This record gives sequence, C-alpha cells and structure tokens, in this order.
Amino acid sequence: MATRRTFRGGIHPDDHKDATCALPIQEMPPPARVVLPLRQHLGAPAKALVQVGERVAQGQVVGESGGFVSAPVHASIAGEVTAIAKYRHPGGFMAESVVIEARDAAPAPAEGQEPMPWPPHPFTLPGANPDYESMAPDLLRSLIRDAGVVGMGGAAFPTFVKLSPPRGKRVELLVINGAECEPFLTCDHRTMLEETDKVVHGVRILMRALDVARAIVGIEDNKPDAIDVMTRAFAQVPGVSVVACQVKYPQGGEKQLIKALTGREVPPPPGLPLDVGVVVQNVGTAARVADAVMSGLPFIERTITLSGPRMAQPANVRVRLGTMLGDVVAFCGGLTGDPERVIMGGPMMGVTLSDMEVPIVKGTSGFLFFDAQSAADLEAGPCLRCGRCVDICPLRLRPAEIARFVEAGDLDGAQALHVRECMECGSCSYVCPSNRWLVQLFRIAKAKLNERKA
Amino acid sequence: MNEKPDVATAPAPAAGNPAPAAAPVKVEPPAKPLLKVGPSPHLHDRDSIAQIMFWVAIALLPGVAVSFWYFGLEAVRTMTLSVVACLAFEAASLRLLKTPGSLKDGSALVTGILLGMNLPPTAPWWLIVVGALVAMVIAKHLFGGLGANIFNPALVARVFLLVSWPTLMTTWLKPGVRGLVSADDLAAVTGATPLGLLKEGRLAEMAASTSTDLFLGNVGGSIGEISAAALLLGGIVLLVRRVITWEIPVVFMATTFIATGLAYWIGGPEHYASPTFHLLSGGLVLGAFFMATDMVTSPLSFRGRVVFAFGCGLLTALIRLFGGYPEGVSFAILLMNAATPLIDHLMKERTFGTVPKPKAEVAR
Repeated sequence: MATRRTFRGGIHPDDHKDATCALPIQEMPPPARVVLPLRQHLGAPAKALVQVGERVAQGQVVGESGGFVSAPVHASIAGEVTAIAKYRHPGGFMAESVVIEARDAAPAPAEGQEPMPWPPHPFTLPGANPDYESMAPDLLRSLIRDAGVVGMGGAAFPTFVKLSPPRGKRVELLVINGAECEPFLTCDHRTMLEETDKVVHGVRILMRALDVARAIVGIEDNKPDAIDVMTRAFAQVPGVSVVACQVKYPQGGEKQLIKALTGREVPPPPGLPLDVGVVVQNVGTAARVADAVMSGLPFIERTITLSGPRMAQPANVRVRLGTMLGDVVAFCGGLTGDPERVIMGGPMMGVTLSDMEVPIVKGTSGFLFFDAQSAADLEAGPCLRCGRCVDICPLRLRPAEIARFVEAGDLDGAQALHVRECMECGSCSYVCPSNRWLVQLFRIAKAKLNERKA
Repeated sequence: MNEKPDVATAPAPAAGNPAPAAAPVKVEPPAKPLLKVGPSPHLHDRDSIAQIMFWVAIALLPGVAVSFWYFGLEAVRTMTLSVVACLAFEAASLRLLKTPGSLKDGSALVTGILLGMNLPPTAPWWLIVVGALVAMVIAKHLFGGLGANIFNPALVARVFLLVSWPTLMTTWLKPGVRGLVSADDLAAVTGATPLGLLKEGRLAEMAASTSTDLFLGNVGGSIGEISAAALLLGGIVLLVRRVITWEIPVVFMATTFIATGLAYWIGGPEHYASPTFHLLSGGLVLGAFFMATDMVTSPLSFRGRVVFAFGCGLLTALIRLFGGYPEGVSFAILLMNAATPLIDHLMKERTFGTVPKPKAEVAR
C-alpha cells in the first residue's frame, strides 16, 4: 500500500461519520407504496411502460430507457400501478412517476382463466450468470444497462454509458471510488465492509466489460477497517490495488481522486476521465453491477445513510427505491424535533428539500436532518481578499476574483477566469470568513452563460 | 450585492405566473409548514472577519504592553486616542458613506491599534486625530470600505503624517520615561532611533543599543516597533491561529536580512549595520507580521504573496541602505500594495487539467 495520496487544495471539515460508521446496514421491509420517478438518472427520462390498474411483479420494467444516455426503471415492489403522475422529486422538481401499491391478493380472474399467482415471481434478467469470466463484454454491458444501474455516488450517470467508450478513446485504468469524502455519509463505507464480495466481483466485471488490466480502489484513510477488508479481498485479484488517500474534501471528486491515484489531471469540461484513459465507478455501483450480472437483479434497492443532529437514531439502511422518505425515517426511529434543514446527499454538495414527501431515488446517498446550529445560515460580508478560497480551490480557480466579476454582471470576465470549470464542491464557501455565497454566485453565472449560449 | 439572497421557502408562491385578471386567488396555506431551503454547502468552518480581527488585536497586545512599559503614560495616551478616533471615524463613515462593514467586525479597532503603534509616543493629539481621519476616511472608506482599499489604511496615515510633519513624527521618546511629558521638557527626554543614528552615520552611538535592547524593546521608536520579541510572540499567535500564513513574514524578513547582509559583507561594518541589527530594529517585524499580511492589500495566491513579500523585503533594504529616510518598511509595503493587482494578474496559476501554454503563445 502506497503512502497517503492526495491532491492539492481542499478542506478538512469535521467528518461527523462516528454517528453511523459502525452501524450495520439495516434492512427495511418493502413498503406498501412506492413512488418511482421516471427520472432517477442523468440523461433522458425513462418512458412509462405500464398503465394505471396494471399489476406488476417486483423487478418488472415500469419505465423503459428513453435514449442512449438513460436508464430503465423497475418496480421495486409487487403490486398495482395506482397512478402515473407528477410527484415531487428529491431534486426539488416535479417528475413524472409511477406509483405502485402493494396488494394482498391477485385480481379476480377473467371468465375461464386461472387466477394469477400472487405475489408474482420477481423478475430477473435473462442471461445473468455467476460465471462472468466466460461472458462477452457486450453481454455484461447489456445486463448492466437493462438492470438500470447508474452511478451511486450522487450524479446518477448511467453506468453502461461509461463502459462504452467512444471509438478512439482508450481506457486502461478503472478507478473505484471508495473515498466517500462528504461528511456524515457512511453508506459506501458500510457497503465495502458488508458487501465485500459483491464489490470484488463488481470490480472484476467492470474490468472485463472495459477490457482493462488494472484497477485502483481509492479509500480515504479515515476508514482503516474498509481499507483493511478491501486490501485482503483484492489480494488474490491480479491488477487491482487498494490505495489509502488522505482524508480531505473533495477527495472523492472524480478529478481529485484520479489526480491522487495517478497524478493525471482530467482536462476541463467537456473533458472526461476517458481523456486520461480512466473510468471511475463508485463502490456501491460495483456491488449493484455484481447483482445485475451474477444474479440478474435489477437495481431496485440501495443503501442510504440517515444522519444529522435531528435524527433520533442515525442509521445506514437498505431501502427499496421509491420508498417515501417519511416511511424510512419512521422505520429508523424518527426525528427529535422539526429539522431546520433536510439535505439530500452530503452537507457540502447536497440539496435541501422543501418537503419530506419525496421518494428515495437511485442517486440518493443519504439524508441529513440539521438543526439550527449545524446549518450554515450566517450573514454574508464583503470580500476581505484573504485568499483562502484561492489557496484551497481543488481546481486552482480564483473564487474571490470570479465572484467580483459575477457580482459586477461581467459574465465574460467570469468566463475568462474559468467559472464554467467550477465543479461546485463548496470548499470556497466553506472557508470564506465573510461567509460569501461563492458557489451560488458561480451557479448563477454558469446558468446565465448557458442561457446566453442557447 | 453583499447581502445574501433571501433564504427562500419553496415552492415560491407562483412567482412566474401572470397575475389573474379577475378576482384575487385565494392562496391555500400548505397543509404543513414547508422546510427551509438554501444552496450548498450547508457547512461552514465558522471562522469570521470578527474572529480574524479579534485575534489580530490579541496578537498586537504584547507589543503594546512593552511600549506601555518603556514609554509609560505617553504611549497609553497615544494608543487610546488613536483607537477611539479610528472607531469614531469608522462609525461616521459607515453612517455617511454607507460603505460595507460594521463596527462589530473589529477592523477599525485593528487599524486603530496599528496606527497607534506607528506613531511616536509623544505625538500631539491633533496629529493622531488627523492620522485617524486619513486612515479611516481617506484610505479606507473613500476607496469603498472594508475589503476595497488598495493601501493599508494605518500605513497611509503614517506616511501622510511623516511627510507632512516630519519633525513631530521623528521625535522619539527615550525608553524609560514613564510619565506624561510637557512640551517644554520634550527636548530633554527625546533622542534618535537606532536606525536614525545609522542614517546619520553615527554608528558608534547606534552600537550602544545592543541586540538584546532591540529584541526586548529598550530603544527609542514608534510605540509598536520597539520590541521584536513581543511582536514575534504576537506573530506566532497569528500563525498558530492560522490568521496569517507564513510566507509573507518569513520571505519579507529573510529578504531584508539577506540584502542588508550582502551590504554589510561587501561594504564592511564601518559603513553598514549588521543584518541582525536590521532585522531587529525599526518596524520590520511589525511590518512583516502585521502590516504586510493585511489580507485586503496583499495578493490572493501563495505565489503572489511570495513575490509581494520579496518586493517588500528588497525595497525595505534598499531604502534603509541607500534612501533618504532611515526607515523603509512603510514605504516598501505601500509600494507593494500598489503592485498587488499586477502581481495577482501575473501570478495566475494554471487551472486544473489545462496544459501550460507553449512559450510562443505566452509571448504574444
């Protein structure tokens, strides 16, 4: 194992992982009702394949992939489709969703027909086989696509797309992201400890699908147990090394992780890891890939972390996709009071919810329930030019200067200072002693620049 | 746009929809209160301007205490008046000019202490008030207030007073005179600073102040510059609290030390003072730790700050060795303040993932 690798810049927030990192993943029983947004991934939304009133089996496709960069959506419980309408998505917008409610018995059969067996046998993907070493890469990719697997680190980019590099791009290294640098979240940590075999198989499948001989698993060294377990699990797998990275936010950012592990710098957008011969996948994604290829299981459940000071009993819990957040919170023991802020994802890049009536989706890594003390809701002041944001920007941008241009309405000036390259990690806002909303200014600038281009 | 956008409570009450022409729509209150939303990040390291200024003020205390010890009531009087006048001008400016900032952010307190430290203990009251006026109103608020000034306010005031009333600004109380001094007695209890003696070529008298005197502060000088030890202690506090970073003080002092050392080594001790003398005398330690590190007026990036500090150190040495003034720290810092936008522009770093431009392209 190499010495602690890292990138330049970054910040050291308190990781708050003690609350949940030692808690085994709880299994939440399937809920009586799920709301499945047809958009749980980056790219085109899925298209509804079912109708209201139709009975569906667990694992049945309810939304087919809407394009190349898209993913199908599967029924996460067996039951009856009771509605197809717009429901609030945890991302804040209203999304076309399929609602399924569990039913105790099959519907009365039509005249002269056998009653449908109930509950119906769960769907699995045809062609799945534990012996993936004998399977063609194309078959692996199509199984991963048909299982609806998307990146589980948060962006929810369809996994098989990353496994299908365009002609002319050579991939020679697979990076497995086990950094989990966002404070509070521990679902990847627990996945590495509890689903070790699946992660190992998933990594081997991904390597085979990509035809690469080398993979590196990067883990922040605040998870020594995970590093230990993964190192032992991969000891017999040729070409795979497990590397400890320094605890530093945003170590789990794709670009920062590649830099730390390989020294390579991914070019600015539209540059991709592919441009430096790398594909990055999250450890949780690897486990779902193993499920899809070896057992034919569609992506219908995931592990999430519920934490934060308002959570009575912080937890790691495996839930069916589409389970309503309120049901998961109730299952885990509820809240200790009204939260000041509810965040989907980590506290650095997560989005706040306006309403807890939202379902768990594929990209949900967790929910945080903050009280007034922990939510950064401070008054902003003028820029002191202290340069802390410049010192820590992991992309070596100059946030203080960009902010001046954005505030002055000079989009060209902001663009000349590379505002478009900002990945919105939030480090600059975190360190700003004037508590300026730097990232938000950059989001505004990027949105305006996109608008202007359109 | 220094105020935060309001933390919106979503969903916004149909802000984009055209208002209905006829009867006003009855807005149903939501069944339960919606949650508060806001943009990420949701964490903050909780450092603030007020905390930074608080720690700078704390770090200045040892230096102030030493001057109170050696200069007694005259120093107390000057320091108090400087702080009070700066706070008053800050309050007036905030109110009249509506520039950003607040008395509570502590920046005026720090400027007040720094201005006091840059004055001779016997400065007359009106000189101090004029200094505070120049610092707060002209150098700070007319430039746009906190964060917008190009030059360090306390240094602008010091240099303004120095060139306007050179005699008053170079009348140095001898250490150990602890009571208030009347105008008639002034001549009897004042003398030159070690750097002043050096400039006049009185090397033998200069040598009467040993390194220990310079280190502890048993010499004539401005209130805040006499004891290198006390200032160093404060500087270490700032470094430990991460209020400042090491590069400016270290590069600044090292550059002056090396440049004056070269002169000493080449020109000989009969003409030049030792680099240790230069390091410990005058305002070098004060300037390097407390004035050059002023965030507002120094470059944004590490590399920029190194260049800035090198310039400060070199100019200080050049002025002390060859200039008309005995002391060059304030001029050096102000000149480098002026160069800060240029340094920021030239010291831009290659952003992540970009390749260095070929030489030819850079030259164009």
